[in-house]
Amino acid sequence: MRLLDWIVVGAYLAWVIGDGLRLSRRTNEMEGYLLASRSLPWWAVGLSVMATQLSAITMVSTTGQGYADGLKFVQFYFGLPIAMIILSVTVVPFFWRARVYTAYEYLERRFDVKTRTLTAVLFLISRGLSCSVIIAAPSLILSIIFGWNLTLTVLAIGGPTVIYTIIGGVQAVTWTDVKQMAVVVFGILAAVVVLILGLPKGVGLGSALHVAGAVGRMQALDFHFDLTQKYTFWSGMVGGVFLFLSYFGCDQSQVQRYLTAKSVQQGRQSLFVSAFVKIPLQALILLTGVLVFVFFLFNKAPMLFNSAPLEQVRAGAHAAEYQALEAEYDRAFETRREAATALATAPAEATRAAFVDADRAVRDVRGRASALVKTATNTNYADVNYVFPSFVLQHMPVGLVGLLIAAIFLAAMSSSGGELNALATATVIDVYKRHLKPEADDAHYLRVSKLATAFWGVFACVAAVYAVQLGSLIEVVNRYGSYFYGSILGVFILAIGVKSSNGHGAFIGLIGGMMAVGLVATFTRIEFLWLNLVGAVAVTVIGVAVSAVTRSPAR
Amino acid sequence: MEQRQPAPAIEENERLAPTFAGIIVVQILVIAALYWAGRYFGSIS
Repeated sequence: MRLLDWIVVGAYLAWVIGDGLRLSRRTNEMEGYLLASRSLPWWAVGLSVMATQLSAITMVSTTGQGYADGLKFVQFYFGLPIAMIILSVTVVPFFWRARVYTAYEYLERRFDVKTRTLTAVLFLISRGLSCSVIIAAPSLILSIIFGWNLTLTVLAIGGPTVIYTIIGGVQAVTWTDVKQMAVVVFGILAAVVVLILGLPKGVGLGSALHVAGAVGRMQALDFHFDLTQKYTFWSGMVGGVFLFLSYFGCDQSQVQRYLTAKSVQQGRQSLFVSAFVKIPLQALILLTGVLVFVFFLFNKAPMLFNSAPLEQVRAGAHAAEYQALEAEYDRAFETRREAATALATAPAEATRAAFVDADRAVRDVRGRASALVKTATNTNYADVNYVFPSFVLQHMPVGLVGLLIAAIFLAAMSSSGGELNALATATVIDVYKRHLKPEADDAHYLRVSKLATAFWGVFACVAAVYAVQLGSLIEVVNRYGSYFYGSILGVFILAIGVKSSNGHGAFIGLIGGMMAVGLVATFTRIEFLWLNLVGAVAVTVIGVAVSAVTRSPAR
Repeated sequence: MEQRQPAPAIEENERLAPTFAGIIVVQILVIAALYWAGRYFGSIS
Protein backbone atom coordinates (compact mmCIF):
# COMPACT_ATOMS: atom_id res chain seq x y z
CA MET A 1 0.00 0.00 0.00
CA ARG A 2 1.17 3.52 -0.78
CA LEU A 3 1.19 6.51 1.55
CA LEU A 4 -2.06 7.88 0.07
CA ASP A 5 -3.82 4.59 0.88
CA TRP A 6 -2.64 4.73 4.50
CA ILE A 7 -3.85 8.33 4.73
CA VAL A 8 -7.26 7.21 3.38
CA VAL A 9 -7.39 4.36 5.96
CA GLY A 10 -6.49 6.68 8.86
CA ALA A 11 -8.74 9.56 7.80
CA TYR A 12 -11.68 7.30 7.07
CA LEU A 13 -11.49 5.44 10.38
CA ALA A 14 -11.05 8.71 12.33
CA TRP A 15 -14.02 10.36 10.56
CA VAL A 16 -16.37 7.39 10.93
CA ILE A 17 -15.60 6.84 14.61
CA GLY A 18 -15.44 10.57 15.46
CA ASP A 19 -18.71 11.33 13.71
CA GLY A 20 -20.38 8.33 15.35
CA LEU A 21 -19.45 9.70 18.76
CA ARG A 22 -20.52 13.24 17.78
CA LEU A 23 -24.00 12.04 16.79
CA SER A 24 -24.50 10.15 20.08
CA ARG A 25 -27.08 11.86 22.35
CA ARG A 26 -28.05 11.37 26.01
CA THR A 27 -25.49 8.64 26.57
CA ASN A 28 -25.37 9.62 30.26
CA GLU A 29 -28.66 7.71 30.77
CA MET A 30 -29.18 3.95 30.56
CA GLU A 31 -31.94 4.17 27.95
CA GLY A 32 -29.91 6.59 25.85
CA TYR A 33 -26.72 4.51 26.17
CA LEU A 34 -28.25 1.08 25.50
CA LEU A 35 -31.36 1.89 23.43
CA ALA A 36 -30.62 5.36 21.96
CA SER A 37 -33.70 6.59 23.91
CA ARG A 38 -35.72 4.70 21.23
CA SER A 39 -35.13 7.59 18.85
CA LEU A 40 -33.36 6.31 15.72
CA PRO A 41 -34.84 6.45 12.20
CA TRP A 42 -35.70 3.19 10.42
CA TRP A 43 -33.12 3.56 7.67
CA ALA A 44 -30.24 3.97 10.17
CA VAL A 45 -31.45 0.98 12.20
CA GLY A 46 -31.96 -1.05 8.99
CA LEU A 47 -28.41 -0.37 7.79
CA SER A 48 -27.09 -1.15 11.28
CA VAL A 49 -28.93 -4.51 11.25
CA MET A 50 -27.21 -5.33 7.95
CA ALA A 51 -23.79 -4.04 9.02
CA THR A 52 -23.83 -6.07 12.25
CA GLN A 53 -24.32 -9.20 10.15
CA LEU A 54 -21.85 -8.19 7.43
CA SER A 55 -18.51 -8.69 9.15
CA ALA A 56 -15.02 -8.40 7.66
CA ILE A 57 -14.93 -12.14 7.14
CA THR A 58 -18.09 -11.82 5.03
CA MET A 59 -16.27 -9.41 2.74
CA VAL A 60 -13.17 -11.54 2.23
CA SER A 61 -14.72 -14.98 2.65
CA THR A 62 -17.84 -14.44 0.51
CA THR A 63 -15.81 -13.03 -2.38
CA GLY A 64 -13.45 -16.00 -1.91
CA GLN A 65 -16.42 -18.36 -2.10
CA GLY A 66 -17.56 -16.64 -5.29
CA TYR A 67 -14.06 -17.16 -6.70
CA ALA A 68 -13.92 -20.85 -5.78
CA ASP A 69 -17.56 -22.03 -5.98
CA GLY A 70 -19.52 -19.34 -7.81
CA LEU A 71 -22.93 -18.05 -6.76
CA LYS A 72 -24.20 -21.12 -4.81
CA PHE A 73 -23.75 -19.55 -1.37
CA VAL A 74 -26.52 -17.01 -2.13
CA GLN A 75 -29.05 -19.81 -1.39
CA PHE A 76 -28.06 -19.55 2.29
CA TYR A 77 -30.00 -16.24 2.42
CA PHE A 78 -33.22 -17.37 0.69
CA GLY A 79 -35.10 -17.77 3.98
CA LEU A 80 -34.24 -14.26 5.20
CA PRO A 81 -37.09 -12.23 3.60
CA ILE A 82 -39.72 -14.69 4.88
CA ALA A 83 -38.17 -14.61 8.36
CA MET A 84 -38.31 -10.80 8.31
CA ILE A 85 -42.02 -10.82 7.42
CA ILE A 86 -42.79 -13.20 10.31
CA LEU A 87 -40.67 -11.18 12.77
CA SER A 88 -42.28 -7.89 11.77
CA VAL A 89 -45.70 -9.08 13.00
CA THR A 90 -44.45 -11.03 16.03
CA VAL A 91 -41.37 -10.16 18.05
CA VAL A 92 -40.88 -6.58 16.81
CA PRO A 93 -44.23 -5.29 18.20
CA PHE A 94 -44.06 -7.58 21.27
CA PHE A 95 -40.56 -6.56 22.34
CA TRP A 96 -40.99 -2.90 21.47
CA ARG A 97 -44.29 -2.47 23.33
CA ALA A 98 -43.05 -4.51 26.31
CA ARG A 99 -40.38 -1.76 26.78
CA VAL A 100 -37.71 -4.37 27.42
CA TYR A 101 -33.95 -3.88 27.06
CA THR A 102 -33.28 -7.49 26.05
CA ALA A 103 -35.16 -10.31 24.34
CA TYR A 104 -34.49 -12.51 27.39
CA GLU A 105 -36.12 -10.01 29.77
CA TYR A 106 -39.36 -10.72 27.90
CA LEU A 107 -39.01 -14.46 28.64
CA GLU A 108 -39.21 -13.84 32.39
CA ARG A 109 -42.45 -11.91 31.97
CA ARG A 110 -43.88 -14.74 29.90
CA PHE A 111 -42.28 -17.73 31.69
CA ASP A 112 -39.86 -17.52 34.61
CA VAL A 113 -36.43 -16.35 35.73
CA LYS A 114 -34.64 -19.65 35.05
CA THR A 115 -35.68 -19.67 31.37
CA ARG A 116 -34.61 -16.03 31.02
CA THR A 117 -31.25 -16.63 32.68
CA LEU A 118 -30.43 -19.79 30.71
CA THR A 119 -31.13 -18.16 27.33
CA ALA A 120 -29.18 -15.04 28.34
CA VAL A 121 -26.19 -17.12 29.46
CA LEU A 122 -26.29 -19.15 26.21
CA PHE A 123 -26.27 -15.85 24.31
CA LEU A 124 -23.34 -14.52 26.36
CA ILE A 125 -21.23 -17.66 25.81
CA SER A 126 -21.94 -18.07 22.10
CA ARG A 127 -21.74 -14.36 21.20
CA GLY A 128 -18.70 -13.75 23.41
CA LEU A 129 -16.83 -16.45 21.48
CA SER A 130 -18.18 -15.43 18.09
CA CYS A 131 -17.13 -11.83 18.78
CA SER A 132 -13.58 -13.09 19.21
CA VAL A 133 -13.82 -14.94 15.88
CA ILE A 134 -15.11 -11.77 14.18
CA ILE A 135 -11.92 -10.02 15.33
CA ALA A 136 -9.58 -13.01 14.88
CA ALA A 137 -10.38 -13.97 11.28
CA PRO A 138 -9.66 -10.59 9.58
CA SER A 139 -6.73 -9.97 11.97
CA LEU A 140 -5.06 -13.16 10.76
CA ILE A 141 -5.59 -12.26 7.09
CA LEU A 142 -4.44 -8.64 7.48
CA SER A 143 -1.42 -9.65 9.59
CA ILE A 144 -0.29 -12.12 6.91
CA ILE A 145 -0.89 -9.71 4.01
CA PHE A 146 0.93 -6.80 5.64
CA GLY A 147 3.43 -8.86 7.65
CA TRP A 148 2.18 -7.38 10.92
CA ASN A 149 2.36 -8.86 14.39
CA LEU A 150 -0.89 -10.75 15.02
CA THR A 151 -1.50 -9.49 18.56
CA LEU A 152 -0.99 -5.89 17.44
CA THR A 153 -3.44 -6.41 14.55
CA VAL A 154 -6.05 -7.79 16.98
CA LEU A 155 -5.48 -4.71 19.17
CA ALA A 156 -5.66 -2.37 16.13
CA ILE A 157 -9.17 -3.70 15.39
CA GLY A 158 -10.37 -4.43 18.94
CA GLY A 159 -8.90 -1.39 20.74
CA PRO A 160 -10.72 1.45 18.91
CA THR A 161 -13.92 -0.65 18.82
CA VAL A 162 -13.95 -1.09 22.58
CA ILE A 163 -13.23 2.61 23.14
CA TYR A 164 -15.95 4.04 20.88
CA THR A 165 -18.49 1.46 22.09
CA ILE A 166 -17.74 2.34 25.73
CA ILE A 167 -18.06 6.08 25.08
CA GLY A 168 -20.96 6.26 22.62
CA GLY A 169 -22.94 3.09 23.35
CA VAL A 170 -25.47 1.84 20.82
CA GLN A 171 -25.68 5.19 19.00
CA ALA A 172 -21.97 5.29 18.17
CA VAL A 173 -22.30 1.68 16.98
CA THR A 174 -25.34 2.48 14.79
CA TRP A 175 -23.94 5.61 13.11
CA THR A 176 -20.64 3.81 12.47
CA ASP A 177 -22.62 0.96 10.89
CA VAL A 178 -24.49 3.35 8.57
CA LYS A 179 -21.27 4.72 7.06
CA GLN A 180 -19.80 1.23 6.98
CA MET A 181 -22.61 -0.08 4.79
CA ALA A 182 -22.30 2.88 2.40
CA VAL A 183 -18.55 2.33 2.00
CA VAL A 184 -18.85 -1.46 1.59
CA VAL A 185 -21.37 -1.05 -1.25
CA PHE A 186 -19.29 1.71 -2.87
CA GLY A 187 -16.08 -0.35 -2.48
CA ILE A 188 -17.63 -3.49 -3.97
CA LEU A 189 -19.05 -1.52 -6.93
CA ALA A 190 -15.64 0.11 -7.47
CA ALA A 191 -14.02 -3.34 -7.46
CA VAL A 192 -16.59 -4.55 -10.03
CA VAL A 193 -15.75 -1.60 -12.31
CA VAL A 194 -11.99 -2.26 -12.00
CA LEU A 195 -12.55 -5.97 -12.69
CA ILE A 196 -14.60 -5.26 -15.83
CA LEU A 197 -12.05 -2.71 -17.06
CA GLY A 198 -9.31 -5.29 -16.43
CA LEU A 199 -10.75 -7.75 -18.96
CA PRO A 200 -8.65 -8.11 -22.12
CA LYS A 201 -9.56 -6.26 -25.29
CA GLY A 202 -12.29 -8.07 -27.20
CA VAL A 203 -13.65 -9.83 -24.09
CA GLY A 204 -16.82 -8.13 -22.87
CA LEU A 205 -18.67 -8.73 -19.60
CA GLY A 206 -21.15 -11.11 -21.27
CA SER A 207 -18.36 -13.26 -22.76
CA ALA A 208 -16.52 -13.23 -19.41
CA LEU A 209 -19.61 -14.51 -17.59
CA HIS A 210 -20.06 -17.21 -20.24
CA VAL A 211 -16.50 -18.34 -19.51
CA ALA A 212 -17.29 -18.40 -15.76
CA GLY A 213 -20.54 -20.26 -16.53
CA ALA A 214 -18.66 -22.95 -18.43
CA VAL A 215 -17.08 -24.10 -15.15
CA GLY A 216 -20.29 -23.75 -13.08
CA ARG A 217 -19.52 -20.39 -11.44
CA MET A 218 -22.86 -18.85 -12.57
CA GLN A 219 -24.95 -21.78 -11.30
CA ALA A 220 -26.64 -20.30 -8.20
CA LEU A 221 -29.50 -22.73 -7.66
CA ASP A 222 -29.46 -26.38 -6.62
CA PHE A 223 -32.96 -27.85 -6.36
CA HIS A 224 -31.84 -31.30 -5.12
CA PHE A 225 -33.44 -32.16 -1.79
CA ASP A 226 -30.41 -33.55 0.03
CA LEU A 227 -30.02 -33.03 3.78
CA THR A 228 -26.27 -33.69 3.55
CA GLN A 229 -25.68 -30.85 1.04
CA LYS A 230 -24.69 -27.60 2.73
CA TYR A 231 -26.28 -25.06 0.35
CA THR A 232 -29.37 -26.02 -1.63
CA PHE A 233 -32.55 -24.14 -2.49
CA TRP A 234 -34.39 -26.16 0.17
CA SER A 235 -31.82 -25.83 2.97
CA GLY A 236 -31.91 -22.05 2.38
CA MET A 237 -35.70 -21.76 2.12
CA VAL A 238 -36.52 -24.03 5.09
CA GLY A 239 -33.45 -24.29 7.34
CA GLY A 240 -32.56 -20.68 6.52
CA VAL A 241 -35.95 -19.37 7.67
CA PHE A 242 -35.40 -20.96 11.10
CA LEU A 243 -31.81 -19.71 11.29
CA PHE A 244 -32.80 -16.12 10.47
CA LEU A 245 -35.89 -16.21 12.68
CA SER A 246 -33.55 -17.14 15.51
CA TYR A 247 -30.75 -14.75 14.60
CA PHE A 248 -32.90 -11.66 13.99
CA GLY A 249 -35.66 -12.51 16.48
CA CYS A 250 -33.88 -14.00 19.50
CA ASP A 251 -30.26 -12.81 19.35
CA GLN A 252 -29.71 -9.68 21.41
CA SER A 253 -27.10 -8.32 18.98
CA GLN A 254 -29.93 -7.94 16.41
CA VAL A 255 -32.93 -7.40 18.71
CA GLN A 256 -31.18 -4.42 20.32
CA ARG A 257 -30.93 -2.75 16.90
CA TYR A 258 -34.68 -2.53 16.30
CA LEU A 259 -35.43 -1.69 19.95
CA THR A 260 -33.63 1.60 19.23
CA ALA A 261 -36.19 2.55 16.54
CA LYS A 262 -38.57 5.48 17.05
CA SER A 263 -41.73 3.35 16.82
CA VAL A 264 -42.98 -0.17 16.17
CA GLN A 265 -43.57 0.77 12.55
CA GLN A 266 -40.00 2.09 12.19
CA GLY A 267 -38.67 -1.08 13.86
CA ARG A 268 -40.53 -3.13 11.25
CA GLN A 269 -39.27 -0.98 8.40
CA SER A 270 -35.70 -1.46 9.61
CA LEU A 271 -36.09 -5.22 9.04
CA PHE A 272 -37.66 -4.66 5.63
CA VAL A 273 -34.39 -3.04 4.51
CA SER A 274 -32.69 -6.44 4.89
CA ALA A 275 -35.71 -8.24 3.42
CA PHE A 276 -35.41 -6.25 0.19
CA VAL A 277 -31.65 -5.73 -0.06
CA LYS A 278 -29.84 -8.67 1.55
CA ILE A 279 -30.13 -11.29 -1.23
CA PRO A 280 -29.24 -8.86 -4.08
CA LEU A 281 -26.29 -7.53 -2.01
CA GLN A 282 -24.95 -11.03 -1.28
CA ALA A 283 -25.40 -11.95 -4.94
CA LEU A 284 -23.38 -8.84 -5.87
CA ILE A 285 -20.57 -9.76 -3.44
CA LEU A 286 -20.48 -13.33 -4.78
CA LEU A 287 -20.55 -12.04 -8.36
CA THR A 288 -17.54 -9.88 -7.47
CA GLY A 289 -15.76 -13.11 -6.50
CA VAL A 290 -16.79 -14.67 -9.81
CA LEU A 291 -15.39 -11.64 -11.65
CA VAL A 292 -12.14 -11.98 -9.67
CA PHE A 293 -12.00 -15.58 -10.96
CA VAL A 294 -12.48 -14.35 -14.53
CA PHE A 295 -9.93 -11.53 -14.01
CA PHE A 296 -7.32 -14.06 -12.91
CA LEU A 297 -8.00 -16.19 -15.98
CA PHE A 298 -6.52 -13.43 -18.13
CA ASN A 299 -4.14 -11.78 -15.62
CA LYS A 300 -1.38 -13.82 -13.96
CA ALA A 301 -2.38 -15.05 -10.54
CA PRO A 302 -0.05 -16.59 -7.98
CA MET A 303 -0.32 -20.37 -7.64
CA LEU A 304 -1.37 -19.90 -4.00
CA PHE A 305 -2.75 -16.64 -2.58
CA ASN A 306 -1.83 -17.13 1.10
CA SER A 307 1.91 -16.52 0.85
CA ALA A 308 2.73 -16.69 4.57
CA PRO A 309 4.04 -20.27 4.79
CA LEU A 310 5.51 -20.40 1.28
CA GLU A 311 9.00 -19.21 2.26
CA GLN A 312 9.18 -22.02 4.78
CA VAL A 313 8.21 -24.51 2.05
CA ARG A 314 10.69 -23.08 -0.45
CA ALA A 315 13.50 -23.36 2.12
CA GLY A 316 12.56 -26.81 3.43
CA ALA A 317 12.79 -30.44 2.37
CA HIS A 318 9.93 -30.06 -0.13
CA ALA A 319 11.53 -27.12 -2.01
CA ALA A 320 12.29 -29.02 -5.25
CA GLU A 321 8.82 -30.57 -5.33
CA TYR A 322 7.22 -27.15 -4.84
CA GLN A 323 9.40 -25.57 -7.54
CA ALA A 324 8.34 -28.30 -9.99
CA LEU A 325 4.69 -27.60 -9.18
CA GLU A 326 5.23 -23.87 -9.82
CA ALA A 327 6.66 -24.64 -13.26
CA GLU A 328 3.73 -26.98 -13.99
CA TYR A 329 1.30 -24.27 -12.79
CA ASP A 330 2.88 -21.67 -15.11
CA ARG A 331 2.35 -23.97 -18.10
CA ALA A 332 -1.19 -24.91 -17.05
CA PHE A 333 -2.05 -21.24 -16.45
CA GLU A 334 -0.88 -20.23 -19.95
CA THR A 335 -2.87 -23.07 -21.52
CA ARG A 336 -5.97 -22.00 -19.60
CA ARG A 337 -5.50 -18.34 -20.53
CA GLU A 338 -5.42 -19.29 -24.22
CA ALA A 339 -8.44 -21.59 -23.81
CA ALA A 340 -10.38 -18.86 -21.95
CA THR A 341 -9.60 -16.33 -24.70
CA ALA A 342 -10.67 -18.83 -27.37
CA LEU A 343 -13.95 -19.54 -25.54
CA ALA A 344 -14.66 -15.83 -24.96
CA THR A 345 -14.03 -14.85 -28.58
CA ALA A 346 -15.33 -17.97 -30.37
CA PRO A 347 -17.84 -19.79 -28.17
CA ALA A 348 -18.43 -23.37 -29.33
CA GLU A 349 -18.60 -26.85 -27.82
CA ALA A 350 -14.95 -27.53 -28.71
CA THR A 351 -13.53 -24.33 -27.16
CA ARG A 352 -15.74 -24.84 -24.11
CA ALA A 353 -14.49 -28.42 -23.61
CA ALA A 354 -10.86 -27.25 -24.03
CA PHE A 355 -11.36 -24.53 -21.40
CA VAL A 356 -13.05 -26.92 -18.93
CA ASP A 357 -10.09 -29.32 -19.28
CA ALA A 358 -7.56 -26.50 -18.89
CA ASP A 359 -9.32 -25.19 -15.78
CA ARG A 360 -9.36 -28.68 -14.29
CA ALA A 361 -5.60 -28.92 -14.84
CA VAL A 362 -5.00 -25.59 -13.02
CA ARG A 363 -7.24 -26.66 -10.13
CA ASP A 364 -5.40 -29.96 -9.94
CA VAL A 365 -1.99 -28.25 -9.64
CA ARG A 366 -3.33 -25.77 -7.05
CA GLY A 367 -4.82 -28.65 -5.07
CA ARG A 368 -1.55 -30.56 -5.04
CA ALA A 369 0.38 -27.40 -4.09
CA SER A 370 -2.03 -26.72 -1.24
CA ALA A 371 -1.69 -30.31 0.02
CA LEU A 372 2.10 -30.02 -0.17
CA VAL A 373 2.08 -26.83 1.93
CA LYS A 374 -0.15 -28.58 4.48
CA THR A 375 2.31 -31.48 4.70
CA ALA A 376 5.42 -29.29 4.74
CA THR A 377 4.18 -26.87 7.41
CA ASN A 378 1.87 -29.25 9.29
CA THR A 379 -0.87 -26.63 9.27
CA ASN A 380 -4.50 -26.45 8.14
CA TYR A 381 -3.54 -24.38 5.08
CA ALA A 382 -6.31 -22.60 3.12
CA ASP A 383 -6.03 -19.71 0.72
CA VAL A 384 -9.54 -18.85 -0.48
CA ASN A 385 -9.88 -15.95 2.00
CA TYR A 386 -6.74 -14.32 0.57
CA VAL A 387 -7.98 -14.05 -3.02
CA PHE A 388 -9.93 -10.77 -2.71
CA PRO A 389 -7.39 -8.92 -0.47
CA SER A 390 -4.63 -9.97 -2.92
CA PHE A 391 -6.64 -8.59 -5.85
CA VAL A 392 -7.34 -5.33 -3.99
CA LEU A 393 -3.71 -4.76 -3.02
CA GLN A 394 -2.22 -5.64 -6.40
CA HIS A 395 -4.79 -4.40 -8.92
CA MET A 396 -7.00 -1.64 -7.45
CA PRO A 397 -5.99 2.01 -8.09
CA VAL A 398 -4.24 3.97 -5.37
CA GLY A 399 -6.75 5.54 -2.95
CA LEU A 400 -9.37 2.86 -3.57
CA VAL A 401 -6.99 0.29 -2.05
CA GLY A 402 -7.00 2.36 1.15
CA LEU A 403 -10.78 2.67 1.08
CA LEU A 404 -11.32 -1.08 0.67
CA ILE A 405 -8.78 -2.01 3.35
CA ALA A 406 -10.45 0.55 5.65
CA ALA A 407 -13.82 -1.03 4.81
CA ILE A 408 -12.49 -4.47 5.81
CA PHE A 409 -11.14 -3.00 9.07
CA LEU A 410 -14.38 -1.20 9.80
CA ALA A 411 -16.53 -4.22 8.90
CA ALA A 412 -14.75 -6.09 11.71
CA MET A 413 -15.09 -3.11 14.02
CA SER A 414 -18.78 -2.43 13.37
CA SER A 415 -19.79 -6.08 13.75
CA SER A 416 -17.82 -6.57 16.95
CA GLY A 417 -18.95 -3.16 18.31
CA GLY A 418 -22.61 -4.16 17.90
CA GLU A 419 -21.94 -7.44 19.63
CA LEU A 420 -19.98 -5.87 22.50
CA ASN A 421 -22.86 -3.47 23.10
CA ALA A 422 -25.38 -6.35 23.12
CA LEU A 423 -23.16 -8.49 25.38
CA ALA A 424 -22.87 -5.61 27.86
CA THR A 425 -26.65 -5.06 27.80
CA ALA A 426 -27.46 -8.73 28.49
CA THR A 427 -24.76 -8.87 31.19
CA VAL A 428 -26.13 -5.84 33.03
CA ILE A 429 -29.89 -6.30 32.49
CA ASP A 430 -30.22 -10.10 32.66
CA VAL A 431 -27.44 -11.00 35.10
CA TYR A 432 -26.18 -8.04 37.16
CA LYS A 433 -29.41 -6.10 37.69
CA ARG A 434 -31.61 -9.21 37.89
CA HIS A 435 -29.45 -11.35 40.20
CA LEU A 436 -26.69 -9.30 41.82
CA LYS A 437 -27.85 -5.71 42.44
CA PRO A 438 -31.55 -5.14 41.70
CA GLU A 439 -31.80 -1.74 43.46
CA ALA A 440 -29.38 0.91 42.27
CA ASP A 441 -29.62 4.20 40.44
CA ASP A 442 -29.32 4.79 36.70
CA ALA A 443 -25.77 6.18 36.99
CA HIS A 444 -24.59 2.99 38.70
CA TYR A 445 -25.97 0.70 35.97
CA LEU A 446 -24.51 2.99 33.32
CA ARG A 447 -21.05 2.65 34.91
CA VAL A 448 -21.46 -1.13 35.09
CA SER A 449 -22.59 -1.19 31.41
CA LYS A 450 -19.36 0.56 30.40
CA LEU A 451 -17.30 -1.80 32.55
CA ALA A 452 -19.14 -4.78 31.00
CA THR A 453 -18.35 -3.45 27.50
CA ALA A 454 -14.68 -3.17 28.48
CA PHE A 455 -14.72 -6.68 29.98
CA TRP A 456 -16.21 -8.27 26.84
CA GLY A 457 -13.83 -6.26 24.66
CA VAL A 458 -10.78 -7.55 26.53
CA PHE A 459 -12.26 -11.08 26.55
CA ALA A 460 -12.86 -10.96 22.78
CA CYS A 461 -9.34 -9.67 22.04
CA VAL A 462 -7.61 -12.25 24.27
CA ALA A 463 -9.81 -15.07 22.91
CA ALA A 464 -9.11 -13.81 19.37
CA VAL A 465 -5.35 -14.27 19.79
CA TYR A 466 -5.87 -17.83 21.12
CA ALA A 467 -8.56 -18.63 18.52
CA VAL A 468 -6.09 -17.90 15.74
CA GLN A 469 -3.35 -19.99 17.33
CA LEU A 470 -5.70 -22.95 17.78
CA GLY A 471 -6.88 -22.67 14.17
CA SER A 472 -9.74 -25.13 14.07
CA LEU A 473 -11.37 -23.49 17.10
CA ILE A 474 -12.92 -20.98 14.72
CA GLU A 475 -14.78 -23.77 12.97
CA VAL A 476 -15.77 -25.34 16.29
CA VAL A 477 -17.21 -22.06 17.55
CA ASN A 478 -19.19 -21.49 14.36
CA ARG A 479 -20.59 -25.00 14.43
CA TYR A 480 -21.32 -24.81 18.17
CA GLY A 481 -23.42 -21.69 17.55
CA SER A 482 -25.85 -23.67 15.37
CA TYR A 483 -26.49 -25.96 18.38
CA PHE A 484 -28.07 -23.01 20.21
CA TYR A 485 -29.84 -21.01 17.54
CA GLY A 486 -32.77 -23.29 16.68
CA SER A 487 -33.28 -24.27 20.32
CA ILE A 488 -33.48 -20.65 21.51
CA LEU A 489 -35.94 -19.96 18.69
CA GLY A 490 -38.03 -22.86 20.02
CA VAL A 491 -38.34 -21.08 23.39
CA PHE A 492 -39.65 -17.94 21.68
CA ILE A 493 -42.08 -20.03 19.58
CA LEU A 494 -43.44 -21.44 22.85
CA ALA A 495 -43.62 -17.92 24.35
CA ILE A 496 -45.43 -16.32 21.43
CA GLY A 497 -47.18 -19.15 19.62
CA VAL A 498 -48.22 -21.66 22.29
CA LYS A 499 -50.57 -20.15 24.86
CA SER A 500 -50.60 -23.26 27.07
CA SER A 501 -46.81 -23.43 27.50
CA ASN A 502 -45.21 -22.61 30.84
CA GLY A 503 -41.78 -21.94 32.32
CA HIS A 504 -40.98 -25.58 33.13
CA GLY A 505 -41.89 -26.60 29.60
CA ALA A 506 -39.73 -23.86 28.06
CA PHE A 507 -36.73 -24.58 30.33
CA ILE A 508 -36.77 -28.37 29.93
CA GLY A 509 -37.65 -27.99 26.24
CA LEU A 510 -34.57 -25.78 25.72
CA ILE A 511 -32.23 -28.30 27.34
CA GLY A 512 -33.89 -31.19 25.47
CA GLY A 513 -33.70 -29.29 22.18
CA MET A 514 -29.97 -28.67 22.52
CA MET A 515 -29.42 -32.35 23.37
CA ALA A 516 -31.47 -33.36 20.29
CA VAL A 517 -29.37 -31.08 18.08
CA GLY A 518 -26.18 -32.47 19.63
CA LEU A 519 -27.30 -36.04 18.89
CA VAL A 520 -28.35 -35.26 15.31
CA ALA A 521 -25.10 -33.36 14.65
CA THR A 522 -22.98 -36.17 16.13
CA PHE A 523 -24.66 -39.25 14.64
CA THR A 524 -25.94 -38.06 11.25
CA ARG A 525 -24.49 -36.19 8.27
CA ILE A 526 -27.28 -33.63 8.21
CA GLU A 527 -25.89 -30.21 7.32
CA PHE A 528 -25.93 -27.37 9.86
CA LEU A 529 -28.76 -25.24 8.39
CA TRP A 530 -31.20 -28.09 9.08
CA LEU A 531 -30.05 -28.23 12.74
CA ASN A 532 -31.91 -24.96 13.32
CA LEU A 533 -35.14 -26.67 12.27
CA VAL A 534 -34.34 -29.72 14.44
CA GLY A 535 -33.69 -27.52 17.51
CA ALA A 536 -36.81 -25.39 17.09
CA VAL A 537 -39.11 -28.39 16.55
CA ALA A 538 -37.57 -30.42 19.41
CA VAL A 539 -37.92 -27.55 21.91
CA THR A 540 -41.51 -26.87 20.83
CA VAL A 541 -42.58 -30.54 21.06
CA ILE A 542 -40.82 -31.18 24.38
CA GLY A 543 -42.00 -27.81 25.74
CA VAL A 544 -45.65 -28.49 24.89
CA ALA A 545 -45.45 -31.98 26.42
CA VAL A 546 -43.75 -30.84 29.65
CA SER A 547 -46.13 -27.88 29.96
CA ALA A 548 -49.11 -30.22 29.70
CA VAL A 549 -47.71 -32.50 32.41
CA THR A 550 -46.67 -29.72 34.80
CA ARG A 551 -49.67 -27.42 34.30
CA SER A 552 -51.13 -26.21 37.60
CA PRO A 553 -54.74 -27.48 38.08
CA ALA A 554 -55.68 -24.04 39.52
CA ARG A 555 -54.82 -22.40 36.22
CA MET B 1 -47.29 -17.97 42.57
CA GLU B 2 -46.46 -14.93 40.44
CA GLN B 3 -48.90 -14.36 37.57
CA ARG B 4 -47.08 -14.60 34.25
CA GLN B 5 -47.82 -12.52 31.19
CA PRO B 6 -49.93 -14.52 28.70
CA ALA B 7 -48.82 -15.21 25.14
CA PRO B 8 -49.47 -12.06 23.10
CA ALA B 9 -52.03 -11.91 20.33
CA ILE B 10 -50.64 -11.47 16.83
CA GLU B 11 -52.30 -8.39 15.39
CA GLU B 12 -53.68 -8.19 11.89
CA ASN B 13 -52.25 -5.23 10.06
CA GLU B 14 -53.63 -4.70 6.58
CA ARG B 15 -51.27 -1.78 5.96
CA LEU B 16 -48.35 -4.21 5.88
CA ALA B 17 -49.84 -6.42 3.15
CA PRO B 18 -48.47 -4.38 0.19
CA THR B 19 -44.98 -4.39 1.73
CA PHE B 20 -45.11 -8.15 2.27
CA ALA B 21 -46.29 -8.63 -1.31
CA GLY B 22 -43.42 -6.40 -2.50
CA ILE B 23 -40.85 -8.43 -0.55
CA ILE B 24 -42.16 -11.72 -1.97
CA VAL B 25 -42.26 -10.34 -5.53
CA VAL B 26 -38.68 -9.02 -5.26
CA GLN B 27 -37.51 -12.38 -3.91
CA ILE B 28 -39.22 -14.28 -6.73
CA LEU B 29 -37.70 -11.91 -9.30
CA VAL B 30 -34.19 -12.25 -7.80
CA ILE B 31 -34.43 -16.07 -7.72
CA ALA B 32 -35.78 -16.07 -11.29
CA ALA B 33 -32.88 -13.82 -12.38
CA LEU B 34 -30.35 -16.15 -10.72
CA TYR B 35 -32.00 -19.15 -12.39
CA TRP B 36 -31.90 -17.42 -15.77
CA ALA B 37 -28.23 -16.39 -15.25
CA GLY B 38 -27.31 -20.00 -14.47
CA ARG B 39 -29.09 -21.29 -17.59
CA TYR B 40 -27.97 -18.50 -19.93
CA PHE B 41 -24.31 -18.19 -18.95
CA GLY B 42 -23.95 -21.93 -18.38
CA SER B 43 -24.72 -22.67 -22.01
CA ILE B 44 -23.05 -21.79 -25.30
CA SER B 45 -24.59 -18.62 -26.70
